[in-house]
Amino acid sequence: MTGSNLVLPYATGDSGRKTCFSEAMEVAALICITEAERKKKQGLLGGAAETLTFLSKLYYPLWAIPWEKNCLLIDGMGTVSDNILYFKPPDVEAFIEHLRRSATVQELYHSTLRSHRETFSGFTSQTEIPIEGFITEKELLSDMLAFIKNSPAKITSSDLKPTSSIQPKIDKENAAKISEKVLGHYSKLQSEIKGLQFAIDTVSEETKTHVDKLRQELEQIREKYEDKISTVRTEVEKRKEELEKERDKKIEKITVANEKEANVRLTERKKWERELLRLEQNKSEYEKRKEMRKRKNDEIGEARWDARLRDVQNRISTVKGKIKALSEFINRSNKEAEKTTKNLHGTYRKLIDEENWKIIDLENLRDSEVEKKGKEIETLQRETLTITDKIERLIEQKRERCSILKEATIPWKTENLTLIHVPFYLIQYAAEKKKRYCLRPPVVARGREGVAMKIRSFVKKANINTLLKPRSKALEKMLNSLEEKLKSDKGVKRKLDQLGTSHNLLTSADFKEKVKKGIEELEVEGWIKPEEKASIMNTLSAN
Amino acid sequence: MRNNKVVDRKLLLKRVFSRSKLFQIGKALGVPYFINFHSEWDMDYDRAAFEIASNISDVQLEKVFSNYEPRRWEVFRGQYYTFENGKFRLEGYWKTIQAAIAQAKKKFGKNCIAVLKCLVNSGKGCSLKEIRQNLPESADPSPILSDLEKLKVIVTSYRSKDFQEWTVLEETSPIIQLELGLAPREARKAAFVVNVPAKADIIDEERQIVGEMDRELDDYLNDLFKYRVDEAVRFGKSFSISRLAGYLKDLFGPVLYFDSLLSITQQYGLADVEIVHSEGRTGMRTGWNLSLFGEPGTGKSFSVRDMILGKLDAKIPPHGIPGRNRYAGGMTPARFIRIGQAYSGRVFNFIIPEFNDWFKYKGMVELLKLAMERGEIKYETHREVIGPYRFHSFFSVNYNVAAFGRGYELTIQDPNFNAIEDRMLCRLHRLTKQRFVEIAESQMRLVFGEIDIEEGAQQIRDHLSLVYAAETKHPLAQGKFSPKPVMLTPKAQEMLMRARKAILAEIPRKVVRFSARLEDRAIRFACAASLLSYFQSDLDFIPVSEDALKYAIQLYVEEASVRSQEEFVPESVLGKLALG
Repeated sequence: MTGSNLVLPYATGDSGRKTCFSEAMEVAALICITEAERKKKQGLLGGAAETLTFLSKLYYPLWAIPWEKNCLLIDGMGTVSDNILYFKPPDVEAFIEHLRRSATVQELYHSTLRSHRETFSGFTSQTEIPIEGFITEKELLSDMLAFIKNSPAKITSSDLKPTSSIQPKIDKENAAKISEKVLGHYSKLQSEIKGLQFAIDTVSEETKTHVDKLRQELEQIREKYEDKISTVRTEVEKRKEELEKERDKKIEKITVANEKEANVRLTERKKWERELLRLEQNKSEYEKRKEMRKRKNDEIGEARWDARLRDVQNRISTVKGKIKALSEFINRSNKEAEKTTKNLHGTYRKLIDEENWKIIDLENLRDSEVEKKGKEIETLQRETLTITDKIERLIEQKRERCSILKEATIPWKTENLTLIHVPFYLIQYAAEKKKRYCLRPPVVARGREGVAMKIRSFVKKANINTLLKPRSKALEKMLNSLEEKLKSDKGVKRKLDQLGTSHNLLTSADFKEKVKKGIEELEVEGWIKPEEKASIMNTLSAN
Repeated sequence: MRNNKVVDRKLLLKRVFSRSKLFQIGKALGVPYFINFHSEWDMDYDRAAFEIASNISDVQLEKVFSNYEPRRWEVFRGQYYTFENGKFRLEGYWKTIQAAIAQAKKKFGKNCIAVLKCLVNSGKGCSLKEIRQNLPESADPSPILSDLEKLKVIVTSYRSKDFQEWTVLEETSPIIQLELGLAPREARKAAFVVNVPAKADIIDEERQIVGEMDRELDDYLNDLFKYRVDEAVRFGKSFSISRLAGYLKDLFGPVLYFDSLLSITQQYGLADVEIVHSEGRTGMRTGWNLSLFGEPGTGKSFSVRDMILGKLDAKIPPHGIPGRNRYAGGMTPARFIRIGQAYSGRVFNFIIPEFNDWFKYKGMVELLKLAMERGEIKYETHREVIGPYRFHSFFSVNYNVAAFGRGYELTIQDPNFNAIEDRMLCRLHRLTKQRFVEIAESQMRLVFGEIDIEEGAQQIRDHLSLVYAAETKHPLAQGKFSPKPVMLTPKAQEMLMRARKAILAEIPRKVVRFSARLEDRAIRFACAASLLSYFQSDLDFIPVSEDALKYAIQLYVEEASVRSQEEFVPESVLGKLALG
């Protein structure tokens, strides 16, 4: 990967500034601040007065590595680091192979799905991958983007880098390796998403095939029963017809026999009814005759007719008894015939019902088998949905991890690997054998019309610090960690000492001229008072 | 037959190896298709199987089975391979199937044929009901299916407690169709359908490859301009075709060197520089197609492929232009015609081993002729229309011919082949004793590390890339090096005329068996070879160099001799021209 450079400015004007903040003003302001912060008198606790040893404008290295339309930022000094959280997905290949192996046998496929119900419940393990120098802090990324976008600096070739740039601890090759590690991890996540998606597609497709087969099977069950039912229905109808015929025949036979017998009895009864009528007429005649004899006081005639009356009465009773017996017989016979017919109807009803049950039983059997298959389809689809839902969740989590990586970029396009030089001032004070360092991060220079200027006028207290506002807390934090390293790491201290000494502005040829010009410009803008100006100019001329 | 074998291998690989196994195999074998994939999920499963199948031999396939765990439960009964009970055999199963079908036909007669026809025509699993529909009402297919399954003609594709489906395996379908008389014997090849990715996918994939090749060139040139450009210019001041020939002769001997000389010179020609004369344009350019033909083992692939692309395991570094050579091993001409769309308007070099295979495909010859003439290509089938697009790239190919006697007998039976051959710079290889000795010695020297071509290869590649960048106005070269046309000198014209006269004088008959295109290619070769002298003068053109002309005439005479069925001895003509 080829390299380029981007040198950012130390101070940029804020929106309130109408005039440009010149380099002379920058140096003069820094001198004012440095001088203000210098310990001038011996302290109560014995600290000696300090002298300003160097004031140097150095550059902190940050690597910008292109990634599609964005770029990753790598801290060239490695003070910032981050860990990528990696979740190992379940073995998709094993799952797919298991499905494939069981695909031809329905029951086996069901049991495979059941056995994988929990396979995708979560990731199998979690690890943290340390990535040295990888900047993910959102505030720092957004501040750096604003810094780059708002600065007039242009990307230059690799040869045109400032001489006061700190040699990065992470060199170009290592920065490229780090970015490859990040991009490789991103590709791995993308591949894993594809794998998980493939698992969803495979299991969905396979289940769809099985559901289709089950539906075919279901259709086959329906057809099988339709055939059976149709055959049985024909047989049943035929049998029912036979039974009805048989029943009707039997009933007819009984009815005919009963009618025949009843007719005989009826004829006989009619004969006896006629006899009864005759006897009733005789009885009436005899009674008349008896009465006549009685009126005639013919006792013998009366007794004769009385005897005849008794005789006819007896005969009437006998005939009546016969008629009654015959009527009862006829009634009984009719009832019996009716009962027999009813019984026959009942018996044959049962037989017909039994025949109908043959169809109903088959229909019930069909319905139960269809229902069973329906439930199998439902179970299969539910099991699949459970698995695919779980995989979807894992995909979602993987996508989130991808987004986190994508968010750890800035939407700034660079063609090549670019070394961004972030400027800062390193100040060294010396008192006897002690040395004190101070780092001034990049700033925004306020305008004359700004609030700070108004406050300053109000309190009437000169403080050049209000002119320069640190541009980013995150950037300041990053540079502070360099300051910490300066205290703790002898190697870093030695390097920065050398760099600071070799680029000391105080010893540069045009230093005094630049400061003088800057001081005048600051005075014109009202950031320093004439007496302050005079004091600084005196100090300058004294040195 | 080779294509059938590839298809058989592809089906086998896809059947018995999982996605990740195929990925591992492809990576381990160094199959180019797998280079750009990070994991098995990025690749196309079907294509992966096809790419491996196209790039391995039976011996490698056997090794694959011993190194990678196959799906032991799967079955494969192909024309060339069998996999059963977890064991792989390098033998086909079709004869067994033919016998089994005959046996079943004898037992069940027409019903057996009806059952098989139903299964073959369906192309998927068939249930008892579906099969029954194709049989007479009284016939029961169950015993037929049971027997066919026992005889391994069909397999169960789905089974549950009360339901079953049967199918024929994809690899056995062609032989079953053949036995049933559903396909004519000649159509056996057509019975195989390789599932290639959809048209749009192929072109998109190829565009990605083109993009990667562009990046490869850019990266190389970036590096070159940053670190080695001065050295490359210094090297170029004294570099020429004779020096290149000397370098190659030292490596491979006085016979073997010439093929590599041709292939490297062709790389210079790829810049497709305009050829001019003192009065103006000639309409010609330096690009040409190269074809090495001859017997197997004569070093054709080495010169065309290994010298250009490099073969690092054999310690051969690449000599060709980075990112400008597309290796097309295992590719079918149909695929080439499709992917060609991704190269329209661009100049690349297609390296094609076993080019003769491409002419076995029906309907492809005309298209390949057009491709070689850099013409407009349009291909229509009932399923798709490809193009029209203009093909601007070139070819480096090799193909096998038998050349024991005089002349050469092409193994290609296509009547159009001669016309295609006319569009290439051809070179015949014979396994002469001297060539055999040189090949054997070179091999031994490479094995024992006596040949160290790393430094030389790097210098030549840097020079070649720099000339290419200058002549093609690459952004990195602009402002530093200008494109220069190659100028034909009157001397070149005169030398060619002399060579023509000398050749014609040697041919006893009135008929000439070679076309005038031979001269055209000799000129192109001379001009491409002159590009090696780019840095030798400060002129704004490159004159055709004398030594380039010498090699061009030699090539012209030798090829004319071969085309004339060796009616004259090239050495006698070269002697007359004082070039022998």
